[in-house]
Amino acid sequence: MRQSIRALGWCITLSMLILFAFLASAIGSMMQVIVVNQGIRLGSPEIEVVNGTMRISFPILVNNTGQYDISDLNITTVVRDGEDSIISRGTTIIERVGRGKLAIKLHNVTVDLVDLISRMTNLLFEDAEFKVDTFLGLRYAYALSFSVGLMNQTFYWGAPFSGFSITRITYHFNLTHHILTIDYSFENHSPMDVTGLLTIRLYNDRGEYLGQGSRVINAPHQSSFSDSIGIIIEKPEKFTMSGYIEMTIENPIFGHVEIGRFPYG
Amino acid sequence: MAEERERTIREWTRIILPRVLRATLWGFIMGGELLIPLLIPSVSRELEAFFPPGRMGIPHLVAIFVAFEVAIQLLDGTVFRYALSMARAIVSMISVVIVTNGGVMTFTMTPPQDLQAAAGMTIQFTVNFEAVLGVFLILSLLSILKNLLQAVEFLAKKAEEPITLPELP
Repeated sequence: MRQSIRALGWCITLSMLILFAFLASAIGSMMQVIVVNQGIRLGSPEIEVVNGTMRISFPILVNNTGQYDISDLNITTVVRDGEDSIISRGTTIIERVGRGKLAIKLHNVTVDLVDLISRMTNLLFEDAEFKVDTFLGLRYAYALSFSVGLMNQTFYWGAPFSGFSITRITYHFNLTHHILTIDYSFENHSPMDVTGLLTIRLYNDRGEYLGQGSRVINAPHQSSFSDSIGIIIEKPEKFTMSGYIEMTIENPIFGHVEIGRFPYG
Repeated sequence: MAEERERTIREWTRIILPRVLRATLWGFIMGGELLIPLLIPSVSRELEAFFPPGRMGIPHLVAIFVAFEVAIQLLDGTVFRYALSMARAIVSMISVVIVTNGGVMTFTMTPPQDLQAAAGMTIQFTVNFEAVLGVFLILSLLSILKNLLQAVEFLAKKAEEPITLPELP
C-alpha cells in the first residue's frame, strides 16, 4: 500500500509541475507574441462607399512567433448610434495560426447608408458621434482563451449637408417667365464629396405645386458650398409670395434622398 | 522496562523547535514568499486595482495556503497532518474557483485621460482558463484521495504497534 500511495503522490506532484510549467510557458510565449513581437496588429482602416454602402475595412495581421498555436481568433466590431441601437456588426474569424506561421485577413464593417439615413434623416444635417465596440478574442495553446474589448470608442459622423439653409429668395419677371431664385448653402463635413442632381419643388402656402428647378452640384468633402437655383413658376396666378419648397437629391452614394421641406416668404 | 517520566522544558524545546523551524521554512517555500511583495505599498496599491479590498483575492488564497502548510508541518507525525492536508486541498479548490470566478476572470481598465481618442473608452480584458482549472481540480481530488489513503495507512500502522502496559507493583 505504501508503494501505491507513494506512486500516486509522485504522479500528482509531477502532473502539477507539468501543469504549472505549461501554464507558465503558455503565458510567457503569448506575452512574447503579443507584447514583445507585436504579433497581432490591425492595419490602417480604409473607407469605401459603393452603392449606398459604406465599408470600413482594415487588415488583421497575425504573426505567431510563439511556441503554441493560436486558434479561434475573432474580431467583432459593433457600431451603435447615440441611443445604443446597433447600426452595424462585423465579425472576422481566423480559425488557426500555427506556430511560426503568418496570417493576414481583412476585417470588414459595412454600414448601409441609405437605410441609416432613411431611419435617421438628421444625420444628413447634423454631425453625430457613433459608439464603436471592438472585441478581439483568441485561444492560445488550445487551453487558454483571452478576449479584449475596447468599449465606447467614438466614431465621428460628419453630416454631408451640415447647416443647410436658404440664404436668400428673390423673385423677378424677365418679360417671359416668373422666376424665383433660391440661394442656399451648407457645409459638407462628410469624408466623401457630395455630388448629384439637386431638385427643388416650389409650393404656395396652400400646398399647390408651382414649379421646379434642378441643378447638378459638386460639394467637395470638408468644405463649404453655396449655390442658387432658379425656378420657373409655371402657374404665376397661384404664386402667393410664401409657402414651402421641397428639396431632393439624386446621389450615386445615397440614391434618391429627400433633404426636407423648407418654408419661404 | 523504563519508567515513564515527565518531559523537561529542554526536551520539549528539542521536539518543538525543529518543527517550528521546518514549518517556517515550508510556509515560506509554499507561498510565503509571495506575500512579501504585498508589504511593499506601491505593489499592494497596484494589486488593489485588480482585487478590491473586501473581496477574496490571490493574497487571501496564498495566506490560507501558507497557514495550512505551517499547521501541517507543526503536526507532523500525527494523523492530523493528513486531515489538514485534505482540508487544505478542499479549501484550495473552493478558494481557487471563487477567486478566479470559475476560471473566467474579467478586468476592466480605463485608458489614460491624455489619450484624446480614448475619451469615455473602457478596455475589458477577459481570461478564460477553465480547462487548466479543471485539470487542477482533478489533481486536487487525487491529492485528497492520496491523503486519505495515507491517513488510513498511518492509523493501521499505529494500531499494529505494541502497547506497553505499566507493570503492576
